[in-house]
This record gives sequence, C-alpha cells and structure tokens, in this order.
Amino acid sequence: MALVSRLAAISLLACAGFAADAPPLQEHQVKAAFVYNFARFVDWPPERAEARQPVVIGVFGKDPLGTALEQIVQGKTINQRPLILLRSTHVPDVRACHVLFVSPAERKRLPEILAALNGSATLIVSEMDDFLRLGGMINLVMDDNKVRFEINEAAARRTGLRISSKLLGLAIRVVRE
Amino acid sequence: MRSIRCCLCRGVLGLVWLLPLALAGGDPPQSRRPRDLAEISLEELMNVEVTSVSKKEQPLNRVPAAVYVITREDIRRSGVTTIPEALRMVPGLQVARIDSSKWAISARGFNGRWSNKLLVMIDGRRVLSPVFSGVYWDMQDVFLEDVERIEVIRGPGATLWGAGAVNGVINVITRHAKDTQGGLVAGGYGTQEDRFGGLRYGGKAGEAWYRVYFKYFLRDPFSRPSSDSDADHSDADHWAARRTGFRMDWEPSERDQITVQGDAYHSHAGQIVSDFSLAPPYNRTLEDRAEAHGGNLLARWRRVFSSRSQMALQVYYDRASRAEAVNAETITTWDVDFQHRYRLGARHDLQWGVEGRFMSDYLPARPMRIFTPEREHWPLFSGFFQDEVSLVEGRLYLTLGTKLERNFHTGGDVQPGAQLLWNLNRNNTLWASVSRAARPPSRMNRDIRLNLTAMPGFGGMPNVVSAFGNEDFRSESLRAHELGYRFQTKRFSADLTAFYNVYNRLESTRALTPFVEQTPEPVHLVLPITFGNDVKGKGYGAELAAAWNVADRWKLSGNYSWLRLRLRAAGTAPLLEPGRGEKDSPEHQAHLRSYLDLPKHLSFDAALYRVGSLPAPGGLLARPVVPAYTRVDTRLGWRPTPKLELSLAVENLLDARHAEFLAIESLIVPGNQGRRNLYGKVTWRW
Repeated sequence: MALVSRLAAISLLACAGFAADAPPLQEHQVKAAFVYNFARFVDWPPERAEARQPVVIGVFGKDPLGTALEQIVQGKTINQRPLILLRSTHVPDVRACHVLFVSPAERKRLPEILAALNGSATLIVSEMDDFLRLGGMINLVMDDNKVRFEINEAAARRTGLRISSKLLGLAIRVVRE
Repeated sequence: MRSIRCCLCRGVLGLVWLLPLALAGGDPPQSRRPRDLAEISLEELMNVEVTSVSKKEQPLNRVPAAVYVITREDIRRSGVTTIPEALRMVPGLQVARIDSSKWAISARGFNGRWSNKLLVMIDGRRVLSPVFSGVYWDMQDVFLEDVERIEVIRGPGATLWGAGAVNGVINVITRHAKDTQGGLVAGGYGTQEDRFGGLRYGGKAGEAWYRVYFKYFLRDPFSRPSSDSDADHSDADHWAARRTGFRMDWEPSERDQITVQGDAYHSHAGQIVSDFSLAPPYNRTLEDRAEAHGGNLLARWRRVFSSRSQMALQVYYDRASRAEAVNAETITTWDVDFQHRYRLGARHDLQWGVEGRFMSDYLPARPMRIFTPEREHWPLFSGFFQDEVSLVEGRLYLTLGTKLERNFHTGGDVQPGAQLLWNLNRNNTLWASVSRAARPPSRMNRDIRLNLTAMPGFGGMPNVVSAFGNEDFRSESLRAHELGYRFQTKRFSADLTAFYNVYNRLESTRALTPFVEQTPEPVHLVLPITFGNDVKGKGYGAELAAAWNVADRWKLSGNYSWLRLRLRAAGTAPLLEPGRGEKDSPEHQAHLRSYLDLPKHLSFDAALYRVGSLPAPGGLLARPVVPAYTRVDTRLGWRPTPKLELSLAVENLLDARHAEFLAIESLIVPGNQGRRNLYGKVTWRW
C-alpha cells in the first residue's frame, strides 16, 4: 500500500500540470474582490454611516471590474447596510458614492472628479500610475501576477475616513503625511 | 479484498498517468462563479495568482533578447500603408524598397530580394516560401487597422520558433475580434498610393465575437531613370491587390479561448525583369506581371489549466501561389503546433512544444529556371524545450532551452540557447545570450537551375551562365552572442544591444567546369556555378533605441544601428566573391521620430531616416554603389470627433527620388526609384 500511495503521489504531481487545482481568476475579478474588502475595512464618519442606509460603491468609467463587482456585491451587506453598485460616467454622480473606483481610462477626468467630491468622505480607489500623488486614496498595483495595493492614509483621514489597521498592515506602501 | 483494491488503485493510477489532459478541467466552471470571490478573505486574496486566458506576456524587462514592438499608435501615426514600411522604424532591421511591390528586408546583415535569415509570422503562421526561405512581402497585405502590434526580435529566436529564425523573428499580431467591433471604413487617395480602401465590420454572434474585412488598393509605378535605353516602361511596376478575411474569437469558458481566422487574397504587380536568349541581343529587359493569390485558415485553442499551467494548440492551412516570368510556385502547407507552459515549484517556468508540418510545392518549369523535381512534398517535425530558472526571485533568471528539428530531406538541426537576465533594480536590466541557429537549405539551394545571363562566345557559340543547386547543400549555421542593457524611468527609456555573430557554412558560389549543351538550340556553352557552404564569417554590431516623453503631448523616439560583416572563404576551393554578402546591408542606420499632439484634436507626426550606403560588389553579379539617403515622412492628423479621423501624409518629403536597393540577383532590372508620395486618408468608425 505504501508503494501505491507513493505512486499516487508521483502521478498526481505529474499531472498537476494539467489538473485544475484552483479556478484561474482573472485580474479584474481579484481587483473587484479587493474593492469589496476595502469597503469592509473602512469606517465612514457618522453623517455617512447611518444605520440601514445603503453603502454605494461607484465605478466611474467603463471597466471590466464593474461587471465582476456587480456579481460580488449582489445581496451583500456591510454592518447591516445593503450594498449598491453604481456605474456612471457622469461626474456629479460621484458625490453619491461611499467608495469610488475610477477606471484607469478616466485618468484625464480625475481632477474633475476630485473637485466634485470636494473633501467628502468617499474612499477613492483606482489602478493607475501615481494615483496617490494625484489625490487618490488606495491604488491597486500588480506585482508579478499578484494584486497588491498602496494606501494614502493621510488623504483618507483628512476626509474623515478611518482605515482599519488590518488593511494598512497588508498594504505594500502607506503614505501617512 | 485487499488485493482487488490494490489492483483497482493501480488501474486508476495508470489511467491518471496516461490521460492527464482528460482529467484537466475537473469541476465545471459554473460551480466556481465569482460568488466565491466575496468569500475569499483579504489575506487569501493577497496570495491569489492572477492568470489571463491569453498567453501570459512577459513585460519587456523580463525578455533576454533584443525586442522591439511596433504598436498600433506607431502604425497609425507613421502613416504607413504596408507592413514592410512599418518595419523601417525597428533598430537593427534593414528595410530597402526594390520597386513598387518588392522589398529587401533583413536583420543584422545579409539583405537581398532573397534574404533568408528572418522568420516572419502572422499570428503564428509562417509566411516563408520554401523556395528561397524568405518572404514575398507583396503577398502579406494585412489590413493594418486590424494589427494589434508587430513584435520584432533581432537575433536567433531559434529556441522557441525553430529553424529559419537566424537573424531575427517578426510576428505580426492581429487584434482580438472583441476589440474590432462595429464598422470601420478607411480610404484614401494619393500621388503614388493612387487609391486604397478598406472596410471592416465586427459584431457578436451569440457568445463569439467576429469580424470580416475587405481591402483593395492600386499603387502607381515608381519612376524610372530617363537613361533607360529600352522603350518607356513608365507604367511597368504598378501594383494592385485585394484581400478579404475574417476572425472569430470565442471564450466558451473562463479557461478557454478559441480563435478561427482566415484570409484570401489576389494581387498583381508589374515589374521589369532581365530576359535572355541564345541569339543576339542576348540580354534584354522585359515587362512582366507577377500574379499572386492564395488563402489561409487557422484555428487556435488556448486553455488555462491552472495558474501554473496553460497550453495552446494551433492548426493551419496555407496555400500561396505565384506566377511571373522567372518563377512560378504553388505552396501548400498544413501545420499543427502544440505548446505547453508549466510553472514547476517556485523557480522553474517550463515551456515545451511539438510541431508537425507538411508542405508540398509545385514549381513548374520556366524558360529561365527549372527545379528538379518540379513537385516535392516533405514533412517536418520539431520540438522545443525551455526552462526559465529564477536563481534569485525577481532579479536573476537563467533560461536554458533547445529546439530539435527533423526535416526528412535535409536531416536535422539542434539549436540550443542560454540566456541570463539580471534585474539590477526597477529601472535597470542587463541580459546576455548565447545561442545557435540554423538555416536549412531551401529549394533554390538544392534543386534549381537558373539561367542568369547569356553572352556571345568563341566561334559564334553563345555562353550561358547558369546557377545550379547542390543536393549536398547543408544548413547554414550561426552562433550568436548578445549582450543587452535596458534602462527605464517614467519618462525615458533606452535599450542597448550588442552582438557578435559567428557564421559557418554560409551559402557560397563557385564555378564548375563548363560544358556544351545541345538543347535548346542553338548549341551553347554553359558556364555553371553552384552553391556550396564554403563561406564563413563574423558579424558584429550594436543597436541603440530610446524613447522620451518630453511632455504629455510630445513623445520623441529614435534609434541607431551599427553593423559590420566580415565574410571569407572557408577552405581552399576558389569561390566567386565570398565577401559579397558584406555589401548588402549598410553600416550605419539612424532614425528619429516625433509624435506631437496639438490643440483642436490635431496631431503632427514626423519621422527621419538616415540609411548608409551599400558598397559595390564586383564579380559576376556586380552592381553600382547604392548611395546613402535621408528620408523624411510627415503626417498631419485630425480627429474632429472620436469616430472620424482625417490625415494628410507625405512620404519622402525631402528627396523626391532615391534608390534603396538594387536587386541584381533577383533578375529585377535595377533603376526603380522611390517617389515623393503625398496622400490623404479618411477613417470612419460607426
């Protein structure tokens, strides 16, 4: 039996290359899962955290992340507040969002978006070069083929958001000033 | 009881060993929908390895080779209308236009109409003619709006692609059908482009995306020097072509990607060729018309088994026919290609593949040339294996690999290679490569009889110089040593490559004993020359490419290449001009280009090329010097709405006429010269 189990181990290893050990996840799906988790580990100031009021996650611009996020948030709640997904390319809509993901294709409109938000407690997330320097709060980056994120904690704090230490601990870079 | 269970265990294990592919896939994908994503904890998410269904592309700083990518923006803003013209901007590539429909293109030397040291592919389909192991560029009339990018690697890509990729690999990659949805009409008119137009429509059929296209153009002839003694051939090298095709992409599941694509084309081009007869005047020029038509069908299946393992299976059929005064050929190819990539442990990235190809050709006799035999078919099998070992994670990678090829007529070739890549830091990468590449014999090398020229001889008996193939012709071989350095910051990037190539068994020509031939009448004396492998040599040089984002609206890029070839006879047998190949590529080439975005949706783009001269070889196929030239192309583009683009382009702004190449050996009569070319183009999407 020992020989057979050894053979089993070898043959399983050999076809490990062909067997599916985990469902292959695409980049936008993993990033959408991160955005959902960001919403779970951030506290909004009381005026935006009323009980049973929905938490609005906005996706600005056409982005495959939106479709993946839609499927994730369906029927979910955070602190008993229902999650709603809002997709828009209309700048004034961003004021309704608690979390806003800006598509990298909308980089040119970022100043407009930030002006419309005007310091309101919205967690701004994206995946573009220099996002934190441009005013963003969380930036998703790829490290080889794993998704990572960096946080501008100072920018979030200034609007009244509080990011949990768990999230800060997992970030590859945190800006505190 | 226990023994039956053991037998069952062994039986099952045996099946597992033999049919790994059948086991792949496991659960149907539907049971693992994104609903699961919400349940993955944050810590687990940090460890998820992302895969994309398409073949994982290495970022440029991970490739230990001299790579240059021509992007869609480059193609659009340079205003080029053919692939050969788009290739001019690549460092280390020599692109020389022979006449309106022919180019001589090579990398790192050995340029010519029949240059044979490049592997050229379109979406993984080889487009080399086995007659001379090179490309008929006028038959590769891809619809440029559908090109995603053109990847050019200088140096042997032998390990992954196979014999024939001696000095470089060019792969034209077309866009995914989902990126070409909707309608597109493009057309224009110009002084030399005359008229051209293309139409494409993309849509969705069920779950699959598709597109169909049709294109047509008519190009004016190049001008001819007025000293041409023969009758005015001013219309001689016009070129007209039409092409149609489709592509369909389908993702039946998250792990699978299926592509089916095909094209059909027809073109005809005028040309002036040398013609000879056994009676005076022995040589004259002849107006000829080259007709080409063909088609291909390709299917590709990519499957991702897991984040560690993926495979690609490709099958294609290609038929290419060409007929002209000097040559006629019909080539049929069937090709099956399987590749697998597997990440073993934390350090090994393995790739391996097998390919089977079946080619058959029909080369009917022509007055100037005969192939013996006229018809041939031959299978070819090859396999490759490569392991990229990460010696230091994220920093130092060693790649070892080899390709084995078995060609039933000409034996086999082994082509090993080793590369080292060192990421000094985020901005700097150093790489080195040593590899061997082989160029197997072509039909021309082995089976041809080509009558080159005739002249009067003693006692009124004409003399004919004829080139004869050599059945014992062997593969040319290259041992390449390359060193490269890449530097990259947000706004500036530079890529420097130096190479030292050692060539052996290069094609040589030598004279054989003359003999008298009775047919065809009149009786004549044949001065035979034949091919051998008796030239060896060294090639060395460097290529520097740089790009600078001067401002958000202005980008500058450029490159400089330097090349030196030293060829000499190997052995003592007297050869005809062994150093001839040295003179077919210029020593210096430089290029500068600028993309400038102006207000009001305007853009102004300009390109400058400076190409060195080609010295004159003497001997049998003597030709004059091709002088150095400077060429400036400019383009003004206007996008009044996102769906409409108008452009006005001038090619060859400064110098109205210059010759780029004189292809004596192709029997194309020299003297065709480029013209200043002004054309306007409209592109409309809906």
